[in-house]
Amino acid sequence: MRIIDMASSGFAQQEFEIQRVDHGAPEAGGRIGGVQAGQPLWLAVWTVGKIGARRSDELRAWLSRMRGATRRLLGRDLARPYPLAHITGFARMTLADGSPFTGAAADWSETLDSEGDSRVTLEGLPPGLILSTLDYIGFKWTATEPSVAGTEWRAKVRVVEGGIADPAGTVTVTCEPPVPSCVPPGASAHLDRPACIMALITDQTRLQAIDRRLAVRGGTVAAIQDLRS
Amino acid sequence: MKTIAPAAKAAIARGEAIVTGAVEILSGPAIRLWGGFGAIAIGGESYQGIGDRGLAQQTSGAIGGIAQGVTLTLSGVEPEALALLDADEIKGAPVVIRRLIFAGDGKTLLDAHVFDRGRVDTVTSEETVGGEAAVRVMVESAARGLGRRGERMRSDADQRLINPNDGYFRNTSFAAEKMLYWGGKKPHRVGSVMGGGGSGGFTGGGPSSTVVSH
Repeated sequence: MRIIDMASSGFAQQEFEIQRVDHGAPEAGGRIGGVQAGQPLWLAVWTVGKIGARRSDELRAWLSRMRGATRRLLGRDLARPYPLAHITGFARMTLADGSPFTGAAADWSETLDSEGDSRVTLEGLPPGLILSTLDYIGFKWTATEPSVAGTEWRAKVRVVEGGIADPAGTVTVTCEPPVPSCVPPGASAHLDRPACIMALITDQTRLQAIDRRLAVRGGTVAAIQDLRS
Repeated sequence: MKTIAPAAKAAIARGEAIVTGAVEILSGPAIRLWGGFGAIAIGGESYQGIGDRGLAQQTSGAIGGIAQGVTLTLSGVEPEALALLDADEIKGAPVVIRRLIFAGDGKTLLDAHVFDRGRVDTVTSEETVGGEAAVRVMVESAARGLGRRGERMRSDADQRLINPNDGYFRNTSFAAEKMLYWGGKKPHRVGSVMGGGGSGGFTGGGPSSTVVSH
């Protein structure tokens, strides 16, 4: 399966949130009963603002390449390519043993606490690395599902309670949603440009007409996470 | 009566449960799908995730009403679901539909009880340009099957289709329809159960018993 990187620029607004579908039974009081349908997924809506002609051309070309919903894109939260405290990248950061930090953790593990919160532990980070609220932890693995076998698949989780890596380079943070169960234990956890694989929601994706400046006057690109094992 | 694990019931009571479905279609080869992502094992078998939130959720029923069939909509036309259309012996293949109840973390499977059992009735695929593409599987439970009417009649003509020389019903006028209530709402009068109207008695239909004509 062809996976295309996100359009590098041109978006003015972004929604990047977890989509949870509730079979709710709303009450007048706060005691709302109900169950949730299926596992949570990332849902993104990028809105195109006023852009120049060249940027517009790039965006239209990118959308053409997506071939509707048949190809996948690497969906990213444009606000956090790297953790907030290291937003320009990991240049000159070194691990506890002095080797340069590439962005990937040596190992990761997840425990679910008694309240059902997901506590993700990353090992092999530079001592003192800060994970702030709303940073992301990405996961990469080679898909084994027959239809996409061999493709590098990705998922990401959002840090909702941050932490600082200890002198050994280990940090434990609370994440949402919990790491999907289809992410294999052998997946690589990384902090550099975390992404999840998404498919376009074609009936909500539309670029508006170009005007006399030869640039689109706006548009919307909507995508939903495609999770595979 | 469906037995739901206590932990799952507690999660539902707290409003934290995440539910989805799993479907096992014992065609040749057997197809096992569930509504989440990746493969999970239920009852020793591996189920392939098709990422369909609403899988096996939509059912309806009424006390005393007609048993409803279950329609499974396998949307997105995943390769795994498409295999269904190519499977041998899909017609009438046994289907087991399970409802999966997860804890709020979406990972801890609390319960996977059997929600319905039945047989595949019809399988259709639907494609709308620019819209939905889905494979729909109609599943008939045993109760639904009871509501079907056959075309055989208790008449001389019908009996002679079986064997031209069999004149067992030759003195019988035929009973076109006979209502039997099986597990449904009880009718008000016994007479209407037996279809006898005012005549009363068991209408076995044999030559020697009371015969109801319509």
